[in-house]
Amino acid sequence: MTWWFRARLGHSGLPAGLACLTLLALALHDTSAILPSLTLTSGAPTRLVEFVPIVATTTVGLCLDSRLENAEVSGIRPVRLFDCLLVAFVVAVVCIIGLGIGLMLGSKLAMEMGRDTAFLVGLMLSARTWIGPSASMVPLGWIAAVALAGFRRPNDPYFWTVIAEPLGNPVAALASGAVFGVGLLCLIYRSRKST
Amino acid sequence: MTLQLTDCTYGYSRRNPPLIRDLSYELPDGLTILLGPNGAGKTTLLKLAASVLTPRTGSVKYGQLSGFTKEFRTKVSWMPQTIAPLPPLTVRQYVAYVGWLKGLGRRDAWDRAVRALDQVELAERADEKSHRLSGGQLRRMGLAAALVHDAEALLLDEPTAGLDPHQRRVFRDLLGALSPRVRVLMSTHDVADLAQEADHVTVLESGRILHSGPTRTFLAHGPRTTPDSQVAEAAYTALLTSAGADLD
Repeated sequence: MTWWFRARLGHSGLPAGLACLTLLALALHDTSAILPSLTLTSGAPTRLVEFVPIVATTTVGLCLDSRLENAEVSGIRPVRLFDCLLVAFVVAVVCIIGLGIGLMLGSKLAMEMGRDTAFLVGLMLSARTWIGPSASMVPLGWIAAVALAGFRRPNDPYFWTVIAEPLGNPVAALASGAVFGVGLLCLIYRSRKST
Repeated sequence: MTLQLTDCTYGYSRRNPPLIRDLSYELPDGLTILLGPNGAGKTTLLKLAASVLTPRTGSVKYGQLSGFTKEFRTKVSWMPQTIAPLPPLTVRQYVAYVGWLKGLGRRDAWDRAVRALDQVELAERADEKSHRLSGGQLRRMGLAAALVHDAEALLLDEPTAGLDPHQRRVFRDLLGALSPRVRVLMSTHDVADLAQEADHVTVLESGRILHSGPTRTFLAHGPRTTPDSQVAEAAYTALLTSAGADLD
């Protein structure tokens, strides 16, 4: 299992990614910017902390792509299950980081980071089934879509945006959990067709 | 006990006709080389035999063991055509990781990795990062990874491509040492070099088996006047021509 962990960049890329995410979250936890929008003439007020989970999704994508596809497919170890545990570990760490920063700096936005990461990682893992490693771009696309078309009025996002909803929104929390679960299932039951 | 494919059909896309249709094959003892033009289905056949691909219809078995079982996967080893390095791992870790994936214990895999690297004359680079190896060295590392867990059937996809003449010699000696106790199926385009050393030859064309039998019956397809050094190539060409294959 040590070699699997090393192969998945567990000793290098993973801690580096999480460190980078922590620094970005600290720097951007309460910063907003106005991004262009198709639905709001004044532009969409976007919290920059919404972009921070991109670091987590990219890190997860890189870790999962660092693999011996052929040997893992023809081996007998439950590597896909280990991968799921790794992904769950990353999301859990991001939740803890968000919670820590939130409590330390009194920022609710930082606390949303865990929920948003679960949603975007789930989205990416589901997309990987069809488009492979390019799926790392999907979370970025989602955030761009939210900025462009996700608001009825300023600070009034559509329910489908999930990441733009406030922390206590139960629909967003449920959607994040469901999408994350689907992502993990996709990771486990990906077709055995080799590259 | 041997590797058997029974009535296997496989295609990469359901929109196109299958690449392999109703193919049945039984891997004989010793060293078998798998010949065929590009696109004949050699890699697909090897992947099906290794249970990396699942046939649409038909079955793959090793004795009574189905291709989905752990026991099957520990008895059958596959070396893919492309050996991709894994930058975080050293050469020894790479080989040991493959051994571990195939069910070896951690210490056992670590110890056997050195022995396997020694077999392919790569032991002196065991502690280097795998992405620092040349193309030929990568293939030798891939071969070491296929050997590490002492499988009973070895499926090798063009293992000699990119090897220099000395390494080809080492490789052939290694196969010679393995083949009495391990069944080897090896795809190659290196007809002249290997056909005369193999125990059996299988020729695949457009997803069907044109010939499968002892080397001497394969060589008998060549014209009688052919010099010895060219008899394997001549036999191969004659077989494909008689089947109406496009040789271009």
